Amino acid sequence: MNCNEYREKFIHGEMTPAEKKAFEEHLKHCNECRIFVERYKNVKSFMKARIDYVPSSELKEKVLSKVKKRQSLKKLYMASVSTAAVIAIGAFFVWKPFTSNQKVYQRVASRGIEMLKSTSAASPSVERSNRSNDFTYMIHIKDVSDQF
Amino acid sequence: MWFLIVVFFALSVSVFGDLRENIISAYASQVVEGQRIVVEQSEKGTKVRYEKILRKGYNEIVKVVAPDFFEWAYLDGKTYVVFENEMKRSPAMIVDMERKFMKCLASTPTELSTAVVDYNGNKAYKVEVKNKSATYVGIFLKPSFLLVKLNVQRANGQLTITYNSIKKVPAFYFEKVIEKFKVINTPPSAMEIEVWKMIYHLNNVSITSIRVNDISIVLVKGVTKSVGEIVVYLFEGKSISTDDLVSQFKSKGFSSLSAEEKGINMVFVSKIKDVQKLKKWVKFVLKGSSF
Repeated sequence: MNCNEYREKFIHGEMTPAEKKAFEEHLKHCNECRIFVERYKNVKSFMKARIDYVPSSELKEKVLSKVKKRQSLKKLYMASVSTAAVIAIGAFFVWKPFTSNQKVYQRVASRGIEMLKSTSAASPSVERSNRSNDFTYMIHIKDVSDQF
Repeated sequence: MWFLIVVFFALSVSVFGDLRENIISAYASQVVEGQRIVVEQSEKGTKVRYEKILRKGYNEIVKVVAPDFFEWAYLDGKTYVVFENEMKRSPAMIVDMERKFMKCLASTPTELSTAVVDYNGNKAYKVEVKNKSATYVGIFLKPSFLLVKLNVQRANGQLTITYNSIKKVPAFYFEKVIEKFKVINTPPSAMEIEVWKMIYHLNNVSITSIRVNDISIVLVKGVTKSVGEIVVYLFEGKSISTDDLVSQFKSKGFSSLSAEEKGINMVFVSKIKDVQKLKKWVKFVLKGSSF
Protein backbone atom coordinates (compact mmCIF):
# COMPACT_ATOMS: atom_id res chain seq x y z
CA MET A 1 0.00 0.00 0.00
CA ASN A 2 1.18 3.49 -0.60
CA CYS A 3 0.92 6.49 1.79
CA ASN A 4 -2.53 7.64 0.60
CA GLU A 5 -4.03 4.16 0.83
CA TYR A 6 -2.67 3.82 4.38
CA ARG A 7 -3.97 7.29 5.41
CA GLU A 8 -7.38 6.64 3.96
CA LYS A 9 -7.80 3.31 5.74
CA PHE A 10 -6.43 4.90 8.93
CA ILE A 11 -8.94 7.73 8.89
CA HIS A 12 -11.85 5.40 8.31
CA GLY A 13 -10.56 2.74 10.79
CA GLU A 14 -10.69 0.10 8.11
CA MET A 15 -7.28 -1.47 8.70
CA THR A 16 -6.89 -5.12 9.47
CA PRO A 17 -4.49 -6.03 12.30
CA ALA A 18 -1.92 -7.05 9.75
CA GLU A 19 -2.34 -3.79 7.85
CA LYS A 20 -2.19 -1.88 11.13
CA LYS A 21 1.16 -3.57 11.92
CA ALA A 22 2.44 -2.84 8.44
CA PHE A 23 1.35 0.86 8.76
CA GLU A 24 3.18 1.13 12.11
CA GLU A 25 6.29 -0.16 10.37
CA HIS A 26 5.68 2.34 7.56
CA LEU A 27 5.45 5.21 10.01
CA LYS A 28 8.93 4.48 11.29
CA HIS A 29 10.27 5.32 7.84
CA CYS A 30 7.69 7.80 6.48
CA ASN A 31 7.98 11.20 8.10
CA GLU A 32 5.02 12.68 6.20
CA CYS A 33 2.64 9.95 7.26
CA ARG A 34 3.83 10.38 10.84
CA ILE A 35 3.04 14.13 10.76
CA PHE A 36 -0.34 13.37 9.16
CA VAL A 37 -1.23 10.89 11.88
CA GLU A 38 -0.21 13.34 14.62
CA ARG A 39 -2.28 16.18 13.19
CA TYR A 40 -5.23 13.93 12.63
CA LYS A 41 -5.14 12.74 16.22
CA ASN A 42 -4.91 16.40 17.48
CA VAL A 43 -7.89 17.49 15.43
CA LYS A 44 -9.85 14.45 16.45
CA SER A 45 -9.15 15.00 20.16
CA PHE A 46 -10.12 18.68 19.86
CA MET A 47 -13.39 17.80 18.17
CA LYS A 48 -14.06 15.17 20.78
CA ALA A 49 -13.35 17.69 23.54
CA ARG A 50 -15.87 20.16 22.03
CA ILE A 51 -18.53 17.54 21.62
CA ASP A 52 -18.07 16.09 25.03
CA TYR A 53 -17.75 19.46 26.87
CA VAL A 54 -20.67 20.34 29.21
CA PRO A 55 -20.40 23.91 30.56
CA SER A 56 -20.92 24.53 34.24
CA SER A 57 -24.33 25.92 35.25
CA GLU A 58 -22.61 29.11 36.34
CA LEU A 59 -21.07 29.66 32.93
CA LYS A 60 -24.30 28.69 31.23
CA GLU A 61 -26.20 31.28 33.27
CA LYS A 62 -23.59 33.92 32.63
CA VAL A 63 -23.69 33.36 28.94
CA LEU A 64 -27.47 33.23 28.79
CA SER A 65 -27.84 36.41 30.85
CA LYS A 66 -25.45 38.18 28.50
CA VAL A 67 -27.47 36.99 25.54
CA LYS A 68 -30.70 38.06 27.21
CA LYS A 69 -29.21 41.44 28.06
CA ARG A 70 -28.17 41.93 24.48
CA GLN A 71 -31.60 40.92 23.26
CA SER A 72 -33.38 43.31 25.63
CA LEU A 73 -31.00 46.11 24.65
CA LYS A 74 -31.77 45.40 21.02
CA LYS A 75 -35.50 45.44 21.77
CA LEU A 76 -35.16 48.72 23.66
CA TYR A 77 -33.16 50.19 20.82
CA MET A 78 -35.76 49.12 18.28
CA ALA A 79 -38.57 50.46 20.45
CA SER A 80 -36.89 53.81 20.94
CA VAL A 81 -36.08 54.11 17.26
CA SER A 82 -39.68 53.42 16.28
CA THR A 83 -41.01 55.78 18.99
CA ALA A 84 -38.70 58.51 17.77
CA ALA A 85 -39.88 57.88 14.23
CA VAL A 86 -43.52 58.07 15.30
CA ILE A 87 -42.86 61.29 17.23
CA ALA A 88 -41.00 62.77 14.30
CA ILE A 89 -43.77 61.89 11.86
CA GLY A 90 -46.41 63.20 14.26
CA ALA A 91 -44.53 66.42 14.79
CA PHE A 92 -44.17 66.83 11.05
CA PHE A 93 -47.92 66.59 10.50
CA VAL A 94 -48.83 68.74 13.50
CA TRP A 95 -46.16 71.39 13.12
CA LYS A 96 -46.16 71.68 9.37
CA PRO A 97 -49.70 73.12 9.02
CA PHE A 98 -49.01 75.41 11.94
CA THR A 99 -45.79 76.75 10.48
CA SER A 100 -47.20 76.88 6.97
CA ASN A 101 -50.25 78.77 8.27
CA GLN A 102 -47.95 81.21 10.02
CA LYS A 103 -46.05 81.64 6.79
CA VAL A 104 -49.27 82.20 4.85
CA TYR A 105 -50.42 84.95 7.22
CA GLN A 106 -46.98 86.52 7.18
CA ARG A 107 -47.00 86.49 3.39
CA VAL A 108 -50.50 87.91 3.16
CA ALA A 109 -49.73 90.60 5.73
CA SER A 110 -46.44 91.55 4.15
CA ARG A 111 -48.18 92.32 0.86
CA GLY A 112 -50.40 94.92 2.53
CA ILE A 113 -47.50 96.35 4.52
CA GLU A 114 -45.51 96.72 1.32
CA MET A 115 -48.44 98.62 -0.18
CA LEU A 116 -48.67 100.84 2.89
CA LYS A 117 -44.97 101.57 2.82
CA SER A 118 -44.90 102.35 -0.87
CA THR A 119 -45.33 106.01 -1.65
CA SER A 120 -48.72 107.00 -2.93
CA ALA A 121 -48.47 108.47 -6.35
CA ALA A 122 -50.51 111.55 -7.07
CA SER A 123 -52.32 109.47 -9.61
CA PRO A 124 -52.25 105.73 -9.05
CA SER A 125 -49.63 104.04 -11.13
CA VAL A 126 -50.94 100.52 -10.69
CA GLU A 127 -51.61 98.95 -14.03
CA ARG A 128 -55.23 99.23 -14.95
CA SER A 129 -56.75 96.50 -16.96
CA ASN A 130 -60.32 96.10 -18.07
CA ARG A 131 -60.65 92.48 -17.02
CA SER A 132 -63.83 92.03 -15.02
CA ASN A 133 -62.22 89.77 -12.41
CA ASP A 134 -59.50 92.09 -11.19
CA PHE A 135 -61.72 94.99 -10.10
CA THR A 136 -59.37 97.64 -11.47
CA TYR A 137 -62.12 98.75 -13.82
CA MET A 138 -63.82 100.22 -10.78
CA ILE A 139 -61.12 102.87 -10.56
CA HIS A 140 -62.18 103.92 -14.07
CA ILE A 141 -65.80 104.08 -12.95
CA LYS A 142 -64.79 106.50 -10.24
CA ASP A 143 -62.69 108.50 -12.70
CA VAL A 144 -65.43 108.95 -15.26
CA SER A 145 -68.47 109.07 -13.08
CA ASP A 146 -68.49 112.84 -12.62
CA GLN A 147 -69.05 112.57 -8.91
CA PHE A 148 -66.76 115.33 -7.84
CA MET B 1 -99.17 149.11 -18.66
CA TRP B 2 -99.62 146.30 -16.16
CA PHE B 3 -101.65 144.46 -18.77
CA LEU B 4 -98.71 144.64 -21.25
CA ILE B 5 -96.24 143.34 -18.65
CA VAL B 6 -98.51 140.40 -17.83
CA VAL B 7 -98.97 139.59 -21.53
CA PHE B 8 -95.20 139.78 -22.16
CA PHE B 9 -94.47 137.54 -19.17
CA ALA B 10 -97.11 135.04 -20.26
CA LEU B 11 -95.70 134.98 -23.80
CA SER B 12 -92.12 134.54 -22.64
CA VAL B 13 -93.11 131.69 -20.33
CA SER B 14 -95.00 130.06 -23.15
CA VAL B 15 -92.10 130.53 -25.61
CA PHE B 16 -89.63 129.25 -23.07
CA GLY B 17 -91.93 126.36 -22.21
CA ASP B 18 -92.03 125.41 -25.87
CA LEU B 19 -88.27 125.65 -26.21
CA ARG B 20 -87.70 123.48 -23.19
CA GLU B 21 -90.17 120.90 -24.49
CA ASN B 22 -88.54 120.98 -27.90
CA ILE B 23 -85.07 120.49 -26.48
CA ILE B 24 -86.16 117.61 -24.25
CA SER B 25 -88.09 115.80 -26.96
CA ALA B 26 -85.32 116.41 -29.52
CA TYR B 27 -82.70 115.04 -27.13
CA ALA B 28 -84.81 111.95 -26.37
CA SER B 29 -85.21 111.10 -30.04
CA GLN B 30 -81.71 111.92 -31.30
CA VAL B 31 -79.26 109.28 -32.47
CA VAL B 32 -75.87 110.94 -32.47
CA GLU B 33 -72.21 110.14 -32.67
CA GLY B 34 -69.70 112.56 -31.23
CA GLN B 35 -66.40 113.26 -29.59
CA ARG B 36 -66.09 115.36 -26.49
CA ILE B 37 -63.55 116.68 -24.03
CA VAL B 38 -64.52 116.56 -20.38
CA VAL B 39 -62.70 118.79 -17.91
CA GLU B 40 -63.37 118.33 -14.21
CA GLN B 41 -62.03 120.90 -11.79
CA SER B 42 -62.31 120.30 -8.08
CA GLU B 43 -60.34 120.78 -4.89
CA LYS B 44 -58.58 117.49 -5.73
CA GLY B 45 -57.24 118.98 -8.96
CA THR B 46 -58.09 119.05 -12.63
CA LYS B 47 -58.91 115.94 -14.63
CA VAL B 48 -59.27 115.89 -18.39
CA ARG B 49 -60.55 113.04 -20.50
CA TYR B 50 -61.43 112.46 -24.11
CA GLU B 51 -64.54 110.48 -24.93
CA LYS B 52 -66.33 109.09 -27.98
CA ILE B 53 -70.08 108.91 -27.68
CA LEU B 54 -72.76 106.97 -29.46
CA ARG B 55 -76.14 107.99 -28.10
CA LYS B 56 -79.71 107.09 -28.86
CA GLY B 57 -81.97 109.19 -26.71
CA TYR B 58 -80.74 108.67 -23.18
CA ASN B 59 -79.09 105.35 -23.97
CA GLU B 60 -75.43 105.69 -24.79
CA ILE B 61 -72.12 103.94 -25.20
CA VAL B 62 -69.22 106.03 -23.93
CA LYS B 63 -65.70 105.13 -24.94
CA VAL B 64 -63.12 106.95 -22.84
CA VAL B 65 -60.05 107.00 -25.05
CA ALA B 66 -57.72 109.10 -22.91
CA PRO B 67 -56.04 109.23 -20.47
CA ASP B 68 -57.02 105.59 -19.74
CA PHE B 69 -59.14 103.48 -22.02
CA PHE B 70 -62.47 102.54 -20.52
CA GLU B 71 -65.81 101.79 -22.09
CA TRP B 72 -69.20 101.93 -20.44
CA ALA B 73 -72.82 102.13 -21.41
CA TYR B 74 -76.16 103.39 -20.15
CA LEU B 75 -79.07 101.28 -21.28
CA ASP B 76 -82.63 101.64 -20.06
CA GLY B 77 -81.77 103.04 -16.66
CA LYS B 78 -78.81 100.75 -15.92
CA THR B 79 -75.12 101.29 -16.41
CA TYR B 80 -72.74 98.65 -17.74
CA VAL B 81 -69.01 98.25 -18.00
CA VAL B 82 -67.82 96.97 -21.36
CA PHE B 83 -65.33 94.10 -21.39
CA GLU B 84 -64.44 93.35 -25.01
CA ASN B 85 -67.69 91.85 -26.32
CA GLU B 86 -69.56 91.79 -23.05
CA MET B 87 -71.42 94.39 -21.07
CA LYS B 88 -71.60 93.73 -17.37
CA ARG B 89 -73.67 95.60 -14.78
CA SER B 90 -71.57 98.17 -12.99
CA PRO B 91 -71.49 98.03 -9.17
CA ALA B 92 -72.62 101.66 -9.04
CA MET B 93 -74.49 103.97 -11.37
CA ILE B 94 -72.07 105.70 -13.72
CA VAL B 95 -73.15 109.31 -13.88
CA ASP B 96 -72.93 111.34 -17.05
CA MET B 97 -73.50 115.03 -16.29
CA GLU B 98 -75.23 115.45 -19.62
CA ARG B 99 -77.91 113.04 -18.43
CA LYS B 100 -78.16 114.87 -15.11
CA PHE B 101 -78.56 118.15 -16.91
CA MET B 102 -81.37 116.83 -19.09
CA LYS B 103 -83.05 115.36 -16.03
CA CYS B 104 -82.81 118.71 -14.29
CA LEU B 105 -84.20 120.47 -17.35
CA ALA B 106 -87.10 118.03 -17.54
CA SER B 107 -87.94 118.49 -13.89
CA THR B 108 -88.89 121.76 -12.30
CA PRO B 109 -85.67 123.71 -11.85
CA THR B 110 -85.58 126.51 -9.32
CA GLU B 111 -84.29 128.96 -11.95
CA LEU B 112 -84.33 128.81 -15.70
CA SER B 113 -83.24 131.16 -18.48
CA THR B 114 -82.62 130.93 -22.20
CA ALA B 115 -80.93 133.06 -24.80
CA VAL B 116 -79.99 132.86 -28.43
CA VAL B 117 -76.22 133.11 -28.74
CA ASP B 118 -73.47 132.73 -31.26
CA TYR B 119 -71.45 129.57 -30.73
CA ASN B 120 -68.37 129.24 -32.93
CA GLY B 121 -70.18 131.07 -35.72
CA ASN B 122 -73.37 129.04 -35.34
CA LYS B 123 -76.65 130.20 -33.85
CA ALA B 124 -77.42 128.36 -30.65
CA TYR B 125 -79.65 128.31 -27.60
CA LYS B 126 -78.03 128.93 -24.27
CA VAL B 127 -80.07 127.25 -21.56
CA GLU B 128 -79.30 127.83 -17.92
CA VAL B 129 -80.96 125.76 -15.23
CA LYS B 130 -80.35 125.60 -11.56
CA ASN B 131 -81.29 123.16 -8.85
CA LYS B 132 -80.22 122.73 -5.24
CA SER B 133 -76.88 121.10 -6.05
CA ALA B 134 -75.69 122.68 -9.30
CA THR B 135 -76.04 125.29 -12.01
CA TYR B 136 -76.06 123.91 -15.56
CA VAL B 137 -75.42 125.96 -18.67
CA GLY B 138 -76.02 124.10 -21.91
CA ILE B 139 -75.50 125.23 -25.50
CA PHE B 140 -77.80 123.63 -28.09
CA LEU B 141 -77.20 124.26 -31.78
CA LYS B 142 -80.03 125.84 -33.70
CA PRO B 143 -82.13 124.32 -35.25
CA SER B 144 -80.85 120.76 -34.63
CA PHE B 145 -81.00 120.99 -30.81
CA LEU B 146 -77.70 119.15 -30.60
CA LEU B 147 -76.00 119.72 -27.25
CA VAL B 148 -72.50 120.97 -28.00
CA LYS B 149 -71.35 122.38 -24.68
CA LEU B 150 -72.27 121.97 -21.06
CA ASN B 151 -70.91 123.67 -17.98
CA VAL B 152 -71.82 122.41 -14.53
CA GLN B 153 -71.01 124.58 -11.56
CA ARG B 154 -71.15 123.10 -8.10
CA ALA B 155 -70.00 124.20 -4.67
CA ASN B 156 -66.93 121.98 -4.79
CA GLY B 157 -65.94 122.35 -8.41
CA GLN B 158 -67.00 122.56 -12.02
CA LEU B 159 -67.20 120.35 -15.04
CA THR B 160 -67.18 121.31 -18.70
CA ILE B 161 -68.15 119.05 -21.57
CA THR B 162 -67.20 120.36 -24.99
CA TYR B 163 -68.06 118.48 -28.16
CA ASN B 164 -65.38 118.63 -30.85
CA SER B 165 -67.71 116.99 -33.25
CA ILE B 166 -71.26 115.70 -33.12
CA LYS B 167 -73.50 114.45 -35.90
CA LYS B 168 -76.79 112.66 -36.29
CA VAL B 169 -76.53 109.06 -37.48
CA PRO B 170 -79.23 106.66 -38.71
CA ALA B 171 -81.35 105.16 -35.93
CA PHE B 172 -80.40 101.55 -36.74
CA TYR B 173 -76.71 102.35 -36.23
CA PHE B 174 -77.02 102.31 -32.43
CA GLU B 175 -78.83 98.95 -32.47
CA LYS B 176 -76.21 97.52 -34.83
CA VAL B 177 -73.47 98.42 -32.36
CA ILE B 178 -75.41 97.16 -29.32
CA GLU B 179 -76.12 93.83 -31.08
CA LYS B 180 -72.41 93.08 -31.05
CA PHE B 181 -72.36 92.95 -27.27
CA LYS B 182 -73.57 90.25 -24.95
CA VAL B 183 -75.42 92.18 -22.27
CA ILE B 184 -75.10 90.44 -18.89
CA ASN B 185 -77.79 91.62 -16.55
CA THR B 186 -76.68 89.73 -13.45
CA PRO B 187 -76.57 92.18 -10.56
CA PRO B 188 -73.10 92.99 -9.20
CA SER B 189 -71.71 90.47 -6.71
CA ALA B 190 -71.34 91.21 -3.00
CA MET B 191 -67.58 91.37 -3.52
CA GLU B 192 -67.93 93.94 -6.32
CA ILE B 193 -70.23 96.07 -4.19
CA GLU B 194 -67.87 95.99 -1.19
CA VAL B 195 -64.79 96.70 -3.30
CA TRP B 196 -66.63 99.60 -4.89
CA LYS B 197 -67.48 101.00 -1.44
CA MET B 198 -63.79 101.14 -0.63
CA ILE B 199 -62.84 102.67 -3.98
CA TYR B 200 -65.61 105.25 -3.68
CA HIS B 201 -64.47 106.42 -0.25
CA LEU B 202 -60.73 106.44 -0.92
CA ASN B 203 -58.56 108.77 -2.93
CA ASN B 204 -55.50 107.85 -5.00
CA VAL B 205 -56.79 104.31 -5.16
CA SER B 206 -54.72 101.39 -6.34
CA ILE B 207 -55.93 97.83 -6.40
CA THR B 208 -54.31 94.44 -6.63
CA SER B 209 -55.12 90.85 -5.75
CA ILE B 210 -53.28 87.84 -4.39
CA ARG B 211 -54.20 84.19 -4.30
CA VAL B 212 -53.72 82.23 -1.08
CA ASN B 213 -55.04 78.74 -0.31
CA ASP B 214 -57.22 78.93 -3.41
CA ILE B 215 -58.75 82.15 -2.14
CA SER B 216 -58.51 85.37 -4.03
CA ILE B 217 -57.81 88.34 -1.78
CA VAL B 218 -58.44 91.80 -3.16
CA LEU B 219 -56.26 94.55 -1.73
CA VAL B 220 -57.40 98.13 -2.09
CA LYS B 221 -55.05 100.90 -1.09
CA GLY B 222 -56.05 104.50 -0.79
CA VAL B 223 -55.94 107.66 1.25
CA THR B 224 -58.54 109.33 3.46
CA LYS B 225 -58.41 112.69 5.18
CA SER B 226 -59.09 111.33 8.66
CA VAL B 227 -56.92 108.21 8.65
CA GLY B 228 -54.31 108.72 5.98
CA GLU B 229 -53.19 105.69 4.02
CA ILE B 230 -55.28 102.56 4.35
CA VAL B 231 -55.04 99.08 2.88
CA VAL B 232 -58.20 97.00 2.84
CA TYR B 233 -58.19 93.23 2.38
CA LEU B 234 -61.40 91.77 1.00
CA PHE B 235 -62.04 88.06 0.62
CA GLU B 236 -64.74 85.43 0.79
CA GLY B 237 -64.87 82.29 2.92
CA LYS B 238 -63.48 81.25 6.27
CA SER B 239 -60.20 79.59 5.37
CA ILE B 240 -58.31 82.80 6.12
CA SER B 241 -58.86 84.01 9.66
CA THR B 242 -59.40 87.75 9.91
CA ASP B 243 -58.33 87.62 13.58
CA ASP B 244 -54.99 86.00 12.69
CA LEU B 245 -54.43 88.56 9.99
CA VAL B 246 -55.29 91.45 12.31
CA SER B 247 -52.87 90.14 14.94
CA GLN B 248 -50.14 89.89 12.29
CA PHE B 249 -50.53 93.61 11.64
CA LYS B 250 -50.82 94.54 15.30
CA SER B 251 -47.62 92.62 16.08
CA LYS B 252 -45.87 94.76 13.49
CA GLY B 253 -47.13 98.02 14.99
CA PHE B 254 -49.99 98.79 12.61
CA SER B 255 -53.56 99.64 13.48
CA SER B 256 -55.85 96.97 12.20
CA LEU B 257 -59.42 95.77 12.53
CA SER B 258 -61.76 93.45 10.72
CA ALA B 259 -65.37 93.55 9.57
CA GLU B 260 -67.79 91.38 7.66
CA GLU B 261 -70.45 92.55 5.26
CA LYS B 262 -72.72 90.28 3.23
CA GLY B 263 -70.29 87.36 3.54
CA ILE B 264 -67.29 89.44 2.54
CA ASN B 265 -64.48 89.51 5.08
CA MET B 266 -62.57 92.74 5.37
CA VAL B 267 -59.37 93.59 7.18
CA PHE B 268 -58.34 97.23 7.43
CA VAL B 269 -54.73 98.25 8.05
CA SER B 270 -53.30 101.67 8.65
CA LYS B 271 -50.19 103.32 10.01
CA ILE B 272 -52.34 105.57 12.19
CA LYS B 273 -51.77 105.08 15.93
CA ASP B 274 -55.33 105.99 16.94
CA VAL B 275 -57.30 102.89 16.07
CA GLN B 276 -60.54 104.70 16.99
CA LYS B 277 -60.15 106.98 13.98
CA LEU B 278 -59.80 103.91 11.77
CA LYS B 279 -62.85 102.35 13.42
CA LYS B 280 -64.88 105.52 12.83
CA TRP B 281 -63.93 105.59 9.16
CA VAL B 282 -64.78 101.91 8.69
CA LYS B 283 -68.18 102.43 10.31
CA PHE B 284 -68.84 105.41 8.07
CA VAL B 285 -67.87 103.51 4.92
CA LEU B 286 -69.81 100.36 5.73
CA LYS B 287 -72.93 102.23 6.76
CA GLY B 288 -72.60 104.80 4.02
CA SER B 289 -75.85 105.53 2.22
CA SER B 290 -74.26 106.09 -1.18
CA PHE B 291 -75.03 102.61 -2.35
